[in-house]
Amino acid sequence: MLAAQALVILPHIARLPIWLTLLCLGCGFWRIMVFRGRWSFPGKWIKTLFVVGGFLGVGFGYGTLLGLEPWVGILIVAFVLKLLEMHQKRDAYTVIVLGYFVALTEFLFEQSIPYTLYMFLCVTLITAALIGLNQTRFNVKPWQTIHKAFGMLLQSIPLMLVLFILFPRISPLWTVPLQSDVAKTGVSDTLSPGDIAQLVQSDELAFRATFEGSIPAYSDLYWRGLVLSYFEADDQAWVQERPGLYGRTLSKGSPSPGWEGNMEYLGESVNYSILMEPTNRNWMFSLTLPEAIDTDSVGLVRDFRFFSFREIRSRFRYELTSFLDYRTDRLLSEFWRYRYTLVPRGDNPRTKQLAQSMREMSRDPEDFVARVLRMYAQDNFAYTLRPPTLSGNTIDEFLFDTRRGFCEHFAGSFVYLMRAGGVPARVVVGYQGGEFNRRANYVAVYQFDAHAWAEVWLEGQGWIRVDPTTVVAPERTDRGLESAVEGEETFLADVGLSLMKFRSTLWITELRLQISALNHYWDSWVVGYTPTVQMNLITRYLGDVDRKTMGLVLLSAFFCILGIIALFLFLKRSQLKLAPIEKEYLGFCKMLDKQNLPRRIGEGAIDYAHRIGLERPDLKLSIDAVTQAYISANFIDDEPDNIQALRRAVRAMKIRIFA
Amino acid sequence: MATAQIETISANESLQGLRRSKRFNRWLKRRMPPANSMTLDQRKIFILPTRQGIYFAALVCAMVLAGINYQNSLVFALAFLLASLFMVAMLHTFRNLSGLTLAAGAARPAFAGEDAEFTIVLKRLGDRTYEALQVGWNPAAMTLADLIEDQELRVKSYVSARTRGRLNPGRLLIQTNYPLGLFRAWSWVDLDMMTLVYPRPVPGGEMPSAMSTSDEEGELVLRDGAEDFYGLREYQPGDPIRHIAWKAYARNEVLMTKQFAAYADRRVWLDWEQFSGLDREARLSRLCFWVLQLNSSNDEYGLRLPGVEIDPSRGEAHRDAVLKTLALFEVK
Repeated sequence: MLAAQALVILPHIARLPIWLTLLCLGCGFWRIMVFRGRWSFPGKWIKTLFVVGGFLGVGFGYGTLLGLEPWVGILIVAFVLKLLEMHQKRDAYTVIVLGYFVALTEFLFEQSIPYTLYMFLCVTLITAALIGLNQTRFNVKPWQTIHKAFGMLLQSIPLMLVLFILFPRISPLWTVPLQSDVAKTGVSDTLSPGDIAQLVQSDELAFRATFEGSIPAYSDLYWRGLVLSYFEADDQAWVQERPGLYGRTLSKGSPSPGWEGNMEYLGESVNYSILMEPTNRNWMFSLTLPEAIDTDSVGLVRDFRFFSFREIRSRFRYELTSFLDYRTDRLLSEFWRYRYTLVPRGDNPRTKQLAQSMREMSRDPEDFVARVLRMYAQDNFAYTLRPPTLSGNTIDEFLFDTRRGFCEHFAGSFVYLMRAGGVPARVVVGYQGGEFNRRANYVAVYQFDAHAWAEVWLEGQGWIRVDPTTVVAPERTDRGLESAVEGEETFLADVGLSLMKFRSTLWITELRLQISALNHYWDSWVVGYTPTVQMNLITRYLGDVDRKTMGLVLLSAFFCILGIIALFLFLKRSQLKLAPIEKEYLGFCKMLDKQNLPRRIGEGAIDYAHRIGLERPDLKLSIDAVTQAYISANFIDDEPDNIQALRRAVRAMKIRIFA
Repeated sequence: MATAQIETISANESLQGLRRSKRFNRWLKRRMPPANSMTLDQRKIFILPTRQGIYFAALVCAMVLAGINYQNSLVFALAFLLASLFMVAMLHTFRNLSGLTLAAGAARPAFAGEDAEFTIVLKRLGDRTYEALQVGWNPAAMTLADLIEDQELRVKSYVSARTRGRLNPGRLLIQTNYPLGLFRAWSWVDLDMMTLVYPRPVPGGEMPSAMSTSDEEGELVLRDGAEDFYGLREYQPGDPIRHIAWKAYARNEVLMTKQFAAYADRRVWLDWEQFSGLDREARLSRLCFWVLQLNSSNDEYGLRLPGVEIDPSRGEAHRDAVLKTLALFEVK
């Protein structure tokens, strides 16, 4: 039981303060000493001291008692202190119940496959401890007990699956404390030079997109996350438009915001679903241009990207339809033209001057765009993951001095140039590309796929995506970051050992894709089995069912399986297993029975042989042979040879009968 | 290995609260008529969650709530796994009784105020094993038994014998919490067992007077504590050390015990009238005491009760007959 307890606590240790770990070890040690009879249980006062100290320690250690970690801390304190107070069976039950609960809290932090298997092991051990409590003292065999616990859990799994699939999932009843102090990950809502170059040092997963049809071309996978359309002069950073200017979002169950007519969907639709890793931020990712989605608490913002009203704190899955061919905002009001051409007064003077002169040289805005892009291509700009740091007027410095930058440098300076030249423009951040997993038809997008690009508004065409990075490093949007910075050897340079680095080794890549696909199925069907997914699955297989039918289906499936398990349990062992000798002999009796020579109840083998020997003198020899072999096998020596002899005799007898 | 021993189970764990009403008893009797041997099947086994089982169910509910509030599928999965385990545990607990055969074994008579010992035979068929069975009449002192390797096991259980007469211990309770302690499966089996309860021996009165029928010497009887040397016999464990014939041992290296003899010169009548002035039970108690005394001193004694007379004799069979008469005297 102590072992089970240790195993349950083990994964928590990384998150627990050191004194709590020491407390666990101390209590465990004390308990062992008590068990060995060397120490006695602590007295009442020491126990009180421990309990009060433990709770205060948790309170001060975490600074608060509200929140998930302090609760888990308290749970573990209670769990280990109960050890010092375990006198009776009832106390042991309490420890076991707490053990199951500690196992549960583990899932609030971690939900991967290895962890799940590990927790299954823990639950097996706790269950074994529970069995141990109910065994007599004469029969203590730990391995058998664990085996029994494992068997019982295995028998429970089919029932669990029924409940898991069919048990109605409802939305939270009240808000609960969640893991606090979790880092916000992924792209942020401010963009200054160097931000994305920082982010792409990580090989963590951002999200996976599963496509219903074929996956669009790599260079079309621009995952729109945020639109930054205001340049903050002080920080020299692009930030989001002031909240409130966009008006209402287009979301499920709320009235029409009035701007949805500005979206024109052309061409073919792409259907896909996205399974996002938790970011603790509000923005979601989609291919432009998405249709409004059927998910609660999510809105489509005026700049055509999704926003979740709640921070995304757990894996989040949503279904999308996008049209890669679209036209948006065919008309742009004076107000918006003003907002989208706004640059701070007084900064980056050289850039402003350059923009004005280039604009004057161009026939129209389209020509201006092309001219600026040509500038990036021809004026020795370089794409690098290690751009020099910029200060002061960062855009001036980048365009005229360093000329070495990452996507945010190009997108940011491009939009600045456009605006300074009077063309409405904005920065879009998100991800570009991803890793295709053809086997499961999904694209895995990692943090190193983070990207920034630009959108310009052209008269009659609406918003057009322009990616200045492709001009400088076309590989980036065709094949991804790794090939774009191939010569530099900077790809994931700061990450230690990562399978990602061996993308050129075929079998490692193959293995990684397999693992990735497995994780994907796990995340989308097990971890991501949300009420929506459940509803979809049930409607697909059972049609439209109301709650009552659902309940009936659930109960009948549950009890059917319970019945099957019961049958299995009760039939499997109720048959008397016959030794091979008995089986042979009974076969022989059956054979004679068919010859109308049944054996009487309670008649011994010798008497029987004697009686039928008289009735059928022709068979007497063989019958005697069988009887002799049976007796010697059964009563004299139980050796394989004797069984063989009996078998031979029976066979000879069979031949005689049929002859 | 299968052994049995007495384990005290705290009284609140038993179903003391569930006092069986007369109607319930009648129903039980119809369902499970008394029989010397009985195989437990689904008609005879009752099963309900224990207190721990109810806690466990509450734990599972709490886990489901946690799963709902955290919208965490794996918390759901764990909660459902434990819920399923709960149901599977029910089957296993049930299986730990079903198919078990109970049979009445020997019953040893007792004196009133002592515990009567009953032997119950547990038998299993096939290779289904039974663990942690609790058998007994008194829910506070059940006998624990495992039936794993043996096909058959004899379990002793004790019932306190309060009053003289025939003792029917009533329905035997057999229960088990194995494997998880979440469920308690039990059955009340009437094995139709019976034993005698002799009166409680109470010392008192004078030694009943010997009634020599003649002057001639009585029969020669072997008896410890007598003075006259009678002969040697082979040593048996339990013989007093001071009676060992050490000289004979030095000669033959075989332990021999010296036997002494006395002449039984007393034939005693234990008479009802001897204890006049006492009530019936008090008289029987004193008679019982003297029966035991005289039996251990190997005297010949007879018994006279109103309407019953047993001629003087000696030996175990005689003693049992006399005690039986005392036990059943004026018992309906």
